[in-house]
Amino acid sequence: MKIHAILTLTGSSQPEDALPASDHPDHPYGTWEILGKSLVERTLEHLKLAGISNSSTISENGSHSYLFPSRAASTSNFVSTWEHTISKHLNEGAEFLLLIRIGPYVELDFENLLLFHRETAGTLTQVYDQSGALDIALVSATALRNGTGTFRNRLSAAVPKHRRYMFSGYASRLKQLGDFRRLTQDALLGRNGIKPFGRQVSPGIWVAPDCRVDSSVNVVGPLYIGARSRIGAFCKINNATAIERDCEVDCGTYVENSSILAETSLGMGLQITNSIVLPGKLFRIDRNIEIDIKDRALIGRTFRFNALTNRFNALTNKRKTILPGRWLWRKKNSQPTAHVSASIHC
Amino acid sequence: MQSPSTLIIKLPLRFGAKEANTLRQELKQQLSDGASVVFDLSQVQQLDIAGIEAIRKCMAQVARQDGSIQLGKISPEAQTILELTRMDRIFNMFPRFSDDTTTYEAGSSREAVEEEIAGVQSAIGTQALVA
Repeated sequence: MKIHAILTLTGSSQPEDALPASDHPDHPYGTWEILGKSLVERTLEHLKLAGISNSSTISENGSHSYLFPSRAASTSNFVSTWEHTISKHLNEGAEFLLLIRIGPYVELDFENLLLFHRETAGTLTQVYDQSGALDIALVSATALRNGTGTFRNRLSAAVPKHRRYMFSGYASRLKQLGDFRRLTQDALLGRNGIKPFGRQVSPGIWVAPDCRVDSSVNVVGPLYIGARSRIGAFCKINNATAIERDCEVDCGTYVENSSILAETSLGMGLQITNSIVLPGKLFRIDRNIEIDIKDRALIGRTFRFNALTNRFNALTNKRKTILPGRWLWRKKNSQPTAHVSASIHC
Repeated sequence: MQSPSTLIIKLPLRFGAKEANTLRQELKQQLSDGASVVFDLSQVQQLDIAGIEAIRKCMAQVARQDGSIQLGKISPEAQTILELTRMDRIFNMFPRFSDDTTTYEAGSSREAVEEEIAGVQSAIGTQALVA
């Protein structure tokens, strides 16, 4: 039984480009990392565990944010890419196509869905929960191979007769930034199936390989520190904070209940609470505002060369850094690869 | 004897190094001894370190000239940036300005204050001060 999957990413595939104006409904959550891996990566892993290894990922790039393009949708790059992808999988002999739109995060048992689909002998089964459709559908390939017109026309013809698969597990629609933050908090508190990438050094504290935390840093779990990230002296990291990979947090900065996304650098002595931070942008969740930070001394992108150097060091297992700087003194002491301060409180 | 005046400084949408420089120069000319200065950040959406530093220096200048400082409305964006840089603790030390006419200094008519505001605005550039 050949099941293939097509994953559709909402918004642009480039998270920096797609950071939208405040009235744009979609954020590119699929590419944002949560505890070390993006939702796309996690979904692909989940599919592999369910025995679905043949999959494609396409990006909506600002077009209609539906699970599949409607008959009325105008021709665009996304539509033609979608059609081409469907055709490719059908030609590869797919019997069932699993269509997943990654905006929502759903912990679905794909085997149960397939069982339901076969038992109900439907051509199209869509996943619902109490709040409505969850942007996951399973379609029989015969429905797409037969019929006339484009694939979207054939699929649209099956919509009126679709079956509803009611799902009662963990789902987050990720409609707002608060939803993304809540998803991260739930992951850190073990309320969903998202496992941090790395190892647990203390109850509720996870660190990924090659992160460096100064011995004077005070951390209060649950929290996550991503790969190759550096936390400077006298920082305080509290309360369900996730610092993703390749970040730099300068001395004396306080971070609470926030997500610091990959490759972000935070300046010295800052105070960040209830926020999602990207290079050059800060989203304050409780105030529902988005701020562009042009001053790189406050919030910027981790200097690429340092990020590459750290990666090189990690691969070659060396402790020295090429550039002099505030980390230079550390190379005299042989530090373990993922050193976490002794002052950890959970 | 000239009675102290009240200056309401409404910062623009984007308050950075360039606007900060202009404000500093104008304040040097416009600020009189004992003046009351109100900083209104209700329109500010972008504020960088240079801007915050400029506000701090203006406050210091006012204090040197025995003036008083009050804070007007602060936009959520400006409040977030001030909290980010921990400058909110300093700003919160100052009393808040209300629109009540009794807050105008004794001896200063409303027209005189508005004239003064207009003077500062035209010097800096209307767009720069009032969004």
